[in-house]
This record gives sequence, C-alpha cells and structure tokens, in this order.
Amino acid sequence: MRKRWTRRRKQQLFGMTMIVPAALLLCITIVTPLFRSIYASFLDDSLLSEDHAWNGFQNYITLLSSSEFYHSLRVTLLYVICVVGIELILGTILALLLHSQIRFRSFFRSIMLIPWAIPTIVSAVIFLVIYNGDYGVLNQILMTTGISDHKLNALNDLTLALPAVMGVAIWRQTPLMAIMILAGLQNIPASLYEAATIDGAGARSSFFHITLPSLKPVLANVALLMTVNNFQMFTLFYTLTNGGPVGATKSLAILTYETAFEQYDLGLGAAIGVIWMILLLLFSIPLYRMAHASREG
Amino acid sequence: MNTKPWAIGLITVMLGASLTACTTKKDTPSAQEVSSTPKDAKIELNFANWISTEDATKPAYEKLIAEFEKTHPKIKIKSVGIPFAQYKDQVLVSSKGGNAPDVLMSNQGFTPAFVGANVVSPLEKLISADILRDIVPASKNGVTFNGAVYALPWTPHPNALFWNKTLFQKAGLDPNTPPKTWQELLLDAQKITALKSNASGSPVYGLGEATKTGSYTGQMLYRLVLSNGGKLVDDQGTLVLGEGTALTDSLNYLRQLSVQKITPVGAEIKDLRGMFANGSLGFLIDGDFGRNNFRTMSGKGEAFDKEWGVTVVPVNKTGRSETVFTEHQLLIAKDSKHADAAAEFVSYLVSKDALTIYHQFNGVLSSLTSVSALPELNEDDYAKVFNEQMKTASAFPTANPKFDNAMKEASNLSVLATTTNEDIPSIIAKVLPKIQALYQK
Repeated sequence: MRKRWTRRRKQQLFGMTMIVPAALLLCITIVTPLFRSIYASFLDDSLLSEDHAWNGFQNYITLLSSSEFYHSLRVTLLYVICVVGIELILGTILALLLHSQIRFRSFFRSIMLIPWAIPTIVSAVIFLVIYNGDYGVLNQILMTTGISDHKLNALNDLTLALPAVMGVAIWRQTPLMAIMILAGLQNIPASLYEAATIDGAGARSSFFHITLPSLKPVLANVALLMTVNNFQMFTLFYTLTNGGPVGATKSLAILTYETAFEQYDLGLGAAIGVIWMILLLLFSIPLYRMAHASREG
Repeated sequence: MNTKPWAIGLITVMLGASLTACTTKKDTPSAQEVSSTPKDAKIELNFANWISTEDATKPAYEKLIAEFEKTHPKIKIKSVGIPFAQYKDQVLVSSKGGNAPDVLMSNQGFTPAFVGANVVSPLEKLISADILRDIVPASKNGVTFNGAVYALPWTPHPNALFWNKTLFQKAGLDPNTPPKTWQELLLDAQKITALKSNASGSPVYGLGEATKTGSYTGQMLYRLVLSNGGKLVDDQGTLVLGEGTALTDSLNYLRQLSVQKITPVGAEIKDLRGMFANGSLGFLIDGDFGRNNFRTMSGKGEAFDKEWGVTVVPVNKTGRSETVFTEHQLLIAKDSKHADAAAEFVSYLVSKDALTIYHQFNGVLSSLTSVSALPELNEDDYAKVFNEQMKTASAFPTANPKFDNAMKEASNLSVLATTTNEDIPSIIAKVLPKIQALYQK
C-alpha cells in the first residue's frame, strides 16, 4: 500500500514539475499583466503625472457616467452580434454547399481558406483600396450595375463606415466558420438521413431535425471562437477608420487605445479593459455551456 | 495524502513569479545627478528618431551620423528608429518605463507630451546660450514650457501652396501665375475641377484639404481658422476657437469645397500627396518636404519638378499669408547618463555643417536665425519660398499636452461639415464642448 502511494506521489510530483514551466510562462505573459491591469484600473495612473495615487472606483465611475463609453459599447456589441450572426448563417450555407455533390468541390474547398490565411492587416489594406471613393472597385460595381447613381465613400460615411468594417470581417472570417461547420457536417452519420428518407422526411425536415441539432455543439463552439475574436478586434477598426468618422466606428478596443495611449490615462484605459473582459466573459460563458451541454447530450 | 499541498506549492510559485514581475524598477538617476563617463571610455548615445526609418530621409540621416562620429570619435550614435505612426506612444511608454533614449527626436505635437510626462530635461544648462538665443522666435515659443526651453527646434516645415502647372494650362490658366488671394485660389480651383479628369482618366480636384478624422485634419482646420482671423487659444491658453466667425467661415468654406466637389472628401494628407503627384489635384498646401515626396511618388524623379510650382499661401481675411509650420525638434532625456555628450550631439545637429548636409539631401530649413539666412540654405527659388513663408507661418499652440487630442477632436468638425447637411452652428455646438473639456484647467 505504502509503495503504491509513494509511486502515485512521485507521479504527481513529476506531473507538477512538468507543469511548472508552462505555469511560470503563463504567469509572466498573462496572469501578471492581467492583475497589473486590474490594479491599474484603481489608480489615477496617467503618463503625464508623477503621482499614481489610489483612487478607488473613480475610474469606473467616470467610465460608467460617460456617454462615449456607452457609444463604444454599442458599436462593439452591434459589430459582434452582426458579424457573428451573419457569419453563422453564411458559414452554414457555404458548408452545406461544399458538403453537397457540386462540381469542383475539392477545388472550392481548397480555395475557401484563402481569405482566412490573409493577415488581418493585409485584408484591411486591400479593402481600403476596394472602398476608395474615387478609384475603388466597389463604386465601379455599384455604378455599372445601377445599384447606386453616385459614388459612395463608405469609410467616411457616418452610416456606412461600421457596415463597411463588418463587411471586411465577414469576408475574412466566414471561410473558417464554413470549414469548421463542414467538418461537423461530415461527422453526422449518413444512416440518420437514410432513416429519415425511409420515414418520408424531406430535405427541409432533415435539415431542421437532423442537421441543425447535430451541428449544435459545432455552431456553439465556432460562435464562441468568433465572438471572442471579434470582441477583441482592433486591427480592422484601427487600419480602416481609426474609430472615425466622428466616432462612428469607435469600438471598445479603439476607445481603450485612445484613452491609454493617446490621452495617456492608463488607469481609465485599464478600467475599460476590465469591463470589456467582464462583458466578454458574460458573452462567452453561456456559449461555452451550450457547446459543453450539447456535447454531453 | 491528497494533491492539495502540491497545488498550494504550485500556486505559491506562480504568485511568487507574478510578484517578482510586478516589482517596479529602481529609479535611475537623472541627467543632472550622474557624473560623466570616464574620459577615455567610448560613449554610446541612443538616438530615438523616425527619419532613419523613412526612405526619403535615411541617406541624410546616415551622412549626418557619419560626419558627427568622424569629428567626435569618442561618441557612438546608436539609432533607435521608430516609425512615425508609433513614435510618440513607444517613446513615451519606454521612457516612463525607465528605458529612455538619450536623445529624442520630436515634433511640435509630441513635445508637450514628453514634457508633461517629465521624461525630458530643460536645456538651459546643457546647450550654449548662443544657440538658444539664435532660435527663431516663433519656434522658441513652441518649445518653452513654464519659462524653460525643453526642446531645440531643428528643422521647421512651413506649409506653402503647391500648384500643378499642367492642370493650370488645361484649365486655361497661366501656369506661371499662382493665386495671390483666397478668392483667386477658389476661382482657379473651380476651373481646374471643371476639367473632371486628367490624361490618365483619374478624377481631377481643384484643391486638396484633409477631411478624414485625425489630428492632421484638425491642424489643417486650424490653418483655415487662422486665415479667417481666428485663434485656437488666447495668450492665457484659454480656448477661444468658437469665438467670432472664423470657425464658422472655415467650416462653410470646407462645405463649399465638398459640395462643389473641389476637394476629395474623406482624404488624408497621404492620399492628397499621392493625388498631387499623379496629376489629379490642382492645389495642395504642404510642407517643404513636398518636393522629395512628389518626385518619389510620381515616379518621375526630378523631371516632375517642371510640372508644378510653389508659392506662399494666398492671403485671406487677415491680409497676410497665414499658414502653420510643423517642426522637428531635439530633446535630451532627463534620465540620460551622458547628458553632456547628448548636448554635444544635439548642438551638432542644429549647426551650420549639419543643416547644410541635411538641406542638400532633403531641402530642409533651419530653426536658427543665423543658419536659415545662409546662402547654402537659400540657393534656389524653392528654398527661398519656404524661407519667405516661414516669416508669416504660425507655430501650433501646443502648450497643452492634450493639443494632439484636441486636434483629433477638431477634425470631427471638418468631417461633419463635408459629409453631412447639418447646419454649421449645430456641428460646432456638438463638437466644441469636447475640445473645451480637453482645455479645462
């Protein structure tokens, strides 16, 4: 008994030792900055001041009474909900198409991931050219097809700027969504569809009663992944509009950057980051639970 | 035995690591507190700058450093090149983190932040009084904070008016007679806009004004306000931008340019420079580095010089050529361990020898009265125009460390005036309080 116990202890010690380097790395790269940020959010921590006094919840009070914060929150939520929602629908349609017996299926599956493989910043620069008011392809298409009779300046238009940024995100991220859903589709046993066909179910009925329920864990997982990814989106906003025009695309990421590094108020910037993190957790936990529950079910 | 003690041990290690990482760096002694390095030791100075990262200025930078090191064998310059877009944030954060470079390049927008963050040293004890006395008065105002000079103005960049001679000819205008008044400028711009497209089929605009959200757009709005007789702040530093009609007049002017399609809406300066270089912009108000930019961007090199001219900005309501100048400046870090060597390097960079080299490469001017008057810096009409323009150019009122933020906020005035139909007083009423908040004392 004693011998077995010692061996178990040795195994635990070995396991713990193996974890230590990774745990230390996590401490230095994630845990420390996280705790420092939370601590900084309670300080009057300005780069323009020598005094970094403790100011309790003042940063949070300032933030929660600022219309700019709520505006950025609204922009971020609108962006995340629209982008993830549209990507889920488009991704499912694309995955179903790629799962069906279409010609050149392998070719389409191969080229699907190209937008995802392009770095975000490169995508942003490409779309800067596409959206250009004078030379952009978008205007040429809209005007030659008669959809618009005048040139649009999408990134400088108060109402079009946010949809324009969303468009780039959707273009870039939908392929990954489609590929992941496609993988989920391929795991649904063919026997389920065969049984449904024998029972007289049509394509629509099979989709709603077999495909969608079977895809639920995959859809919840990709939705979680894309929600986290888009909540943190900075590159597209910064490169395409830098939060403009007149704050129309000022997301929480841009607001944090502006507050911390343009107005030098690290304390307030950290407070935005903390609230942002809490919101992200509030969004992610139900999605995570949904994915987990579906898998167990 | 369960795993609890081991888990506690692991958590202790993790927390220990966290706390170790949380400990703050011991304060480094300031420039004044540190004695000089032993006489025979070679000193390495870190020089944070952005000119070594840009193709147009890199050759001049390398030549300047080589010449300095030749005459100062005991000092080695280590370049800390940071692209302009990230410059202010990176230098500020690294300096506050205890890793300040010895010498910092800066500009009129960045310097107030560096001074406000207390990372740079006053220069009176480091730089000779002769050099400080020689600074052009308009420049000296911009680098004096609470009575002390914190930055040595290096190269001023007054904005003057570039015009495209080819488009002038096509529009039936005399290519050698640029406008002298604001009215003439607008009429000429309208005629050029009427051309609609140039030889390559690109749309043609009469005049380029920056109208995209960003601090540069705000700075250019300030230039318009000056020409309409207004100011940003009064002598006490109180915001007076909304007083009088200058701001309203400036925004009405921008709206007119937008409605008549005289200016491309939503453009920033890099777009406008590209458009001028490819022959689709009649006028552009830009700095003295314009020539090099246009040569490179047009792909025609020096041959492109024949296609454009440059003159002082036309007069408007004040009766004088109102414009602004940006300025490259040099600062010495408060925590530099080699403050004397840094001062020697900075003094060299503003000297006649260095400016002559820099001028030969990039046509830059000098912020020192004696150097700017040298024949070597006035050898052609281009240099003469900019030296002339410098006489009426205004420095940006940058004493407020949040000036750059205020300019970014002000850019929203230009954006709203050019992209919406909202009446101008409503736009001002919407945006001005945000600028006022940045100027609250």
